Amino acid sequence: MNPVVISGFHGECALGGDFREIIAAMFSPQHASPSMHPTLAIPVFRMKNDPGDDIVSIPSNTRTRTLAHLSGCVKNALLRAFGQPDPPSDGVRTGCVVGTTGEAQFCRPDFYDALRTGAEPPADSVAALADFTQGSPAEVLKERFHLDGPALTVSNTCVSGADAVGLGALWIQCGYCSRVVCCGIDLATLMPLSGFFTLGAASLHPCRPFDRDRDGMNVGEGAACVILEREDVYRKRSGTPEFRLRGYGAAGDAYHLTAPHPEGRSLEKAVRKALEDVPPEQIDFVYAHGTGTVANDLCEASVLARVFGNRVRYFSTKALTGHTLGASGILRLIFAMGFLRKGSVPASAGCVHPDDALPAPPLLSPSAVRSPFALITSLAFGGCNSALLLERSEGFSCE
Amino acid sequence: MRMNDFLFFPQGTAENTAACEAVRAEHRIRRMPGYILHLAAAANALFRRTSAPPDGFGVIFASRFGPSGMVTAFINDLLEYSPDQSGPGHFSHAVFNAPAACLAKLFATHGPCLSLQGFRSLSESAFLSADVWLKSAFCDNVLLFFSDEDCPFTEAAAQKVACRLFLPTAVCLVSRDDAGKSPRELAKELFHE
Repeated sequence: MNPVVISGFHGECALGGDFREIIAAMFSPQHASPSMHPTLAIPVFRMKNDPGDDIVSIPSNTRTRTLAHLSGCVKNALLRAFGQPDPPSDGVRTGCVVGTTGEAQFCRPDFYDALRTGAEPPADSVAALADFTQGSPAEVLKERFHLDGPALTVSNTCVSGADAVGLGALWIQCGYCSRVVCCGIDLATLMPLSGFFTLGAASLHPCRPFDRDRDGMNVGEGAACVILEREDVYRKRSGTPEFRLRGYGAAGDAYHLTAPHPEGRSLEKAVRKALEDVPPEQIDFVYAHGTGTVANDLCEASVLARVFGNRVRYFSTKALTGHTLGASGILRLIFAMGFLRKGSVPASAGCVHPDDALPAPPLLSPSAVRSPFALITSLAFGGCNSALLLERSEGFSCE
Repeated sequence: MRMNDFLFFPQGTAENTAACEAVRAEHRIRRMPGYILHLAAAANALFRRTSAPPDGFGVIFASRFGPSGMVTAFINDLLEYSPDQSGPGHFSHAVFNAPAACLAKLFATHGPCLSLQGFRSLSESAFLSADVWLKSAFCDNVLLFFSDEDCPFTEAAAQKVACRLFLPTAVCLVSRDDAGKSPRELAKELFHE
């Protein structure tokens, strides 16, 4: 893949919305602690600056809150890229891709309740439906920010955010646009909480990815945006870019609706596709999906050991943020930029006693960054796998 | 991009319902929802007209509302029972990418798998996604589904608000052809979008 510049970014999660504070928190023993769901008794990592109230009853309308977070992320990312919260009027064709799970579906309970009983749906539920059909999150952002390129909402469960970035990069590579606003978002609502709970995938405790005692994942809220640009477009107004997306791979397991393939054959295919232009030995660290479920972590660690060898440096931070579902891949891309900039990667959060079944343990203490390349892996329901390859340019100092 | 073939496949006709049952029997399916059987039957009908399924094709599922029947079932679970008693099978089949994932499994294809949602120029965006996969060597063929589930929810939605559904289901197989048609041309040809 031709490199694509990452010129702006912004992410929000349970650790807050300030990039430096989030990165610092990942190295601190004092970080966000999750709320406990009142009836399911499972931890939930809600947005630090805007904890939602949709985790107890079925959400009546999450669209307003979703669009507020997305718009905020886009504005902050644009501010970082262009010094203004709006896209520049420079004639550059700009597309928009949003990855999300929950916001792709209309879940207004009173509408469904009326369907069930044969009653007339309440007027405000019909109004919410009308609002929903006005456009997907990407289509709304395109209109709100006056973008002139294609707009697409990807709902590929937990790889949605990673795929949003990957597709944005491919759009640029194939000449469909020269700049893309890529976003990922998911808010914690009762639907995923109940679903993961009854599937047996949710832990009753803060999650412990890669630990021998891990017993499931925690749901978290997250929203993020990165601005991708063709390099010559970026260089017209700036010098050498600090960050580039260097690779993207995606492949499907065709194995099971909720479980990853035990050997991770398609995750490996996605990783090797992302590494087409950079050999594995040049990768410094892998920012793993690391959900804390027994199957995910074993599959992922096995693939990483096959591709990178048993000295692979990998870690998860979902014990600090929860699993932010459709935002996870893009949020971790942003956090990986913070680690490369800091010159250090954190210990794998929540892992005290690495599982002996893993071919190699995750990082158990913070460690210095030794090369400018980081790989971000994502796995999802339905056997979707994605990988993103990030590079930080030489000549930028560590903070 | 070249469209090798496409067809429209309505839900609920006697012939197509029989085709769904044939999928159920062929794959010994017990739990997969009828809507996914319908999508598989549509793909089978397309492959019968063209050729056997190509190796490692990508799958794209584009929809306004996704698997609405299972979303309805899962929300009904939440309305009737406490949240620790919802049906896990309803949940896993209600997620938006469940149809694409099940289709990939039924056809044993390890190409990329993508589910897309929207209301404006979604068909063009779906063809565009297929085109960038083909041009970037993610796969050699992409099977696209443009579909909404014909069920009480979508019927009510279409009655209450002006929204255009992907009914009947459209399925098409595309491959790379740099001298072929653009995503916009294909979207216009099939859906006048």
